[in-house]
Amino acid sequence: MTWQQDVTSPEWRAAVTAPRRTLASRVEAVSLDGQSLGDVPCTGVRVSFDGGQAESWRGSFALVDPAMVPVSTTSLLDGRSGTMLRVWWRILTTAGWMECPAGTLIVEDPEVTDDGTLSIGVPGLDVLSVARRGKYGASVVQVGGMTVSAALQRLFDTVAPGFPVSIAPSTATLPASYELWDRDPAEDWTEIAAMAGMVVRTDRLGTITVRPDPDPSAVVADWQEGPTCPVVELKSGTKTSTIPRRVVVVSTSPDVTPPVVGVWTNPDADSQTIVTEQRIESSTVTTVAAAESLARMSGERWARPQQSVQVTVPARPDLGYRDPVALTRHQAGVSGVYRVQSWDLTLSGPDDAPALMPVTMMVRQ
Amino acid sequence: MPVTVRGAYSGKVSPAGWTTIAWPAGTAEGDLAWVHCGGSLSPLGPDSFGWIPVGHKAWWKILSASDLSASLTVSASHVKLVTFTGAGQIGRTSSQSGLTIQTNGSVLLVDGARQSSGMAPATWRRGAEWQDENNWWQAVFAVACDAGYVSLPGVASGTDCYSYEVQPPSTTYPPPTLIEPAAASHVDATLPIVMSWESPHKTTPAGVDDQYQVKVVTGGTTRWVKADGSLSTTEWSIPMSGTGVLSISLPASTLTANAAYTWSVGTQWVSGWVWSPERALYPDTPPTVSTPTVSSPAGDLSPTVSWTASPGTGVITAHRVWILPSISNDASAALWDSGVIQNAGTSITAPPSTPWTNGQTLKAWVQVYQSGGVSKRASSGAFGATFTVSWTPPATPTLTVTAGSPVQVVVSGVTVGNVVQIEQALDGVTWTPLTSRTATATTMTVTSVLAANGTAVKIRARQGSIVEGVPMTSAWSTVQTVTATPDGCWLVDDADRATSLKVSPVTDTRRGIVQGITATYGLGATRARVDSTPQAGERGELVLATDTLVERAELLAWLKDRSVWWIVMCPDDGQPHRPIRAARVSPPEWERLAQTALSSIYHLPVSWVEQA
Repeated sequence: MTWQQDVTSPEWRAAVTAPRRTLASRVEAVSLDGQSLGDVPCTGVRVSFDGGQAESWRGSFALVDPAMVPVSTTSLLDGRSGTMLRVWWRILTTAGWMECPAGTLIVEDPEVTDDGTLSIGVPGLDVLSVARRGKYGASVVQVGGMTVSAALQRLFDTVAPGFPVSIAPSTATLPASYELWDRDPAEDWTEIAAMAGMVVRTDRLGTITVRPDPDPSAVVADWQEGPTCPVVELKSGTKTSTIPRRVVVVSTSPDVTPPVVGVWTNPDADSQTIVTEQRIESSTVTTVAAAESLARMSGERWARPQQSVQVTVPARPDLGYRDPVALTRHQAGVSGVYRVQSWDLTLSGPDDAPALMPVTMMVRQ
Repeated sequence: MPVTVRGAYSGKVSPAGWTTIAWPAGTAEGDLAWVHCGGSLSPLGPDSFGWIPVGHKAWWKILSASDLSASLTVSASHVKLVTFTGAGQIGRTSSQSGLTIQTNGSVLLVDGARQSSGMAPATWRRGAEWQDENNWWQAVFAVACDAGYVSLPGVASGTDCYSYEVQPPSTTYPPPTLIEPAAASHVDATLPIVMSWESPHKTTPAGVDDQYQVKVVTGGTTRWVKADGSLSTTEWSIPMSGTGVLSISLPASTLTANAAYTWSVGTQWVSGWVWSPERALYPDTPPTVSTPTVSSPAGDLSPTVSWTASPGTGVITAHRVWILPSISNDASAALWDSGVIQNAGTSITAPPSTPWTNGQTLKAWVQVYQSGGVSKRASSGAFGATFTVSWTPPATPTLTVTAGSPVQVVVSGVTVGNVVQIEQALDGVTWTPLTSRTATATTMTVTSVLAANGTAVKIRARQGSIVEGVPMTSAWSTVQTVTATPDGCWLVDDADRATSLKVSPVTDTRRGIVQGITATYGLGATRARVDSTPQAGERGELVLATDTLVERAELLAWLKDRSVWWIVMCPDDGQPHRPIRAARVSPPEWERLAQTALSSIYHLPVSWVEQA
């Protein structure tokens, strides 16, 4: 069975929500082309996942095995070896051990400390953070008239050859003239992917993926207060300071003289305490109608209070970005279906107590 | 059928933005439509699917019935729309008033703009010139043309032009794709030659044959291959069915040996015969190779294989040799495979590290290659001339086992310098190593603490010598069984389990299972949730007593030299404890710090954790 089949199996679902769980983890070294290079003896791992960020994954690894001290360019922890570390979170189910990847990170710049006992610390980076360091060099990459998929394939072939990339097919095409040469490649790939309504992210296996944001509808976890509630701690914040009284959009395109201005006034801003004015300068707006439309869209986007919720639960790194979770705690004024934005996973050795996991939900209005 | 203009529309959109345009009169399904959406708006193009961007703010599409059921909707400040009949696609484009047309029967379409009127003669213009939102003059022109460089005649200076090549549909039919033999292959002329190709016909109805011709040409002479592989001096068609790979086999010696040929395959379409590119083919006389002879004296682990060879054409370039059991006819079962060696050598020696079986009947295969790559293989076993690799192994040692704690094992009949390997089955079933040592006398005595566990333990031994750098082992000795009562507390080296040290434990404390456990109570929960790691053996702290500083130093040195060892605790009422394979986790500096809390400086604390 593949891990994808594992995490959708009834045994997995029963095991992750069971009141008694037996957990383990392992760290596997993989080459850029996906070949497994064997397990790495890590004594501690931290993985932070934030699906809302362009670089979704961060982490760090701790090791004590002197054999892991990098001594050449092919050593696993040497950034030049093209090695990624894949974290597997394991749980004992009625059908035996099952596992799910909790991030695949590039490791670079390890630090070795020796005070009699050796320790190695190495940060883990999102594949995209390494890919964006590559530039176009002296070349100008022509992607005009290509489909979004083909243009992104050419972009990644140029800035990050050899990195695993998976691009969803798209029929949207770029303008006839479109050159890549000077900007941060991350700005380019974000902009090109957005033309087809897609985002560029790194998946759990360290593959750069280009596809629309996921939009799962089934509730994957029931964390409402009650006899079986796993939530140990809940933090909730409500933000009203972002509600605008007025939004002003001003065109900055040199082709538009005089500049056009669009204004949206919050019809609910009768409260004297709503004083925020939002000002947007846009180079793409060329008409008053467009400026007013942008002002209205932006105003309505921020017109209601923002609620942010963070909970602490026993580890569930199988949760993905935007997975719906039912959450209720009347005393704290939290109720409804929230979507997962980010989580932090801490893993350590077999004699350390399994750590709890903070999960931050997407902001709701 | 040449491309012709069906109709055209152009004009200003006021106010700029989304607008709908009626299709020009007569526009029909299958026509090609080209539309330019000009002006300062973002180039969004037509508001329907399937439009292909091309050139300057322009799109094209082969129109479907659903396209024609509604008007065209575009976003622009001004629009130019031309529809064509008999067109298949838009080919090249340029930002000048002309370009090189590739196909006869095409139309050159020129999209022009100029700040003042009169950009070109009206002969080729579609509709009138008109002024756009910025008061530039706009028009489109269409020129029917054949292949070659074509430009719009009489273009006024200062005219901005974008040219498009509107082509008729592609009507080329594909040829067969040749597969085997590869281009410029040398093949063995004394063997049948199989020629294969992929059929380009994907839609022939079942039960109907396609027509093929296979042509072989040498020195200006053309021959056609018949269905049976023989050659015809006149044109010969072969009816064949199938949409995948097709092939035909030429019997041995059909083609003249050592002549240079080309071959190609043609197939019939409605337009006539379409031929694949020609491929060179060289049917060569193969080399000859003698029956190999093998020199393999007893006690020699590196037999030498010799042969002679002469080329059929060219020169001998390489050889490859296999040694395999005489009963085998499969090269993958070879004990040794030399790989292809690029020289004209006539003998080779197999390495002694080959996994020989003493006295097994073997044969050698020799394959020689000549320039071009044609090869011939010969077997030493062709006339029953087999050989063996044989040697005299060391004598099987004798084993004597005496019960006690520890169990004493005496291996006799060994040769000085040989490696003696002793194994024990502590549960009577699973063999684990006891020790492996080089004999310094004809008898070797070792002890095993682990074997004194109160149950029947099996022990066996063998010896090995090194011949030509390869270890040769004797058979295992007769298995001896011993049941010995455990006694005392021991440390046993994990690498050499015949090395042990008797110790005196003072305390065995802080024993525990290695496992992490977290218990949490959720909000409103009525019972705990428990996350735990799997049990990973035991851990504990052992304090060992010594009588003298010398003894203490000896114990410390023993521990420092070994990272993993076994703890065998004193038995309880004669019942043994499970021996634990452990590693020390207390750092060396503890030895000094911990002693202050203990009554005697001769006490040595050892923290340990069990190893898998």
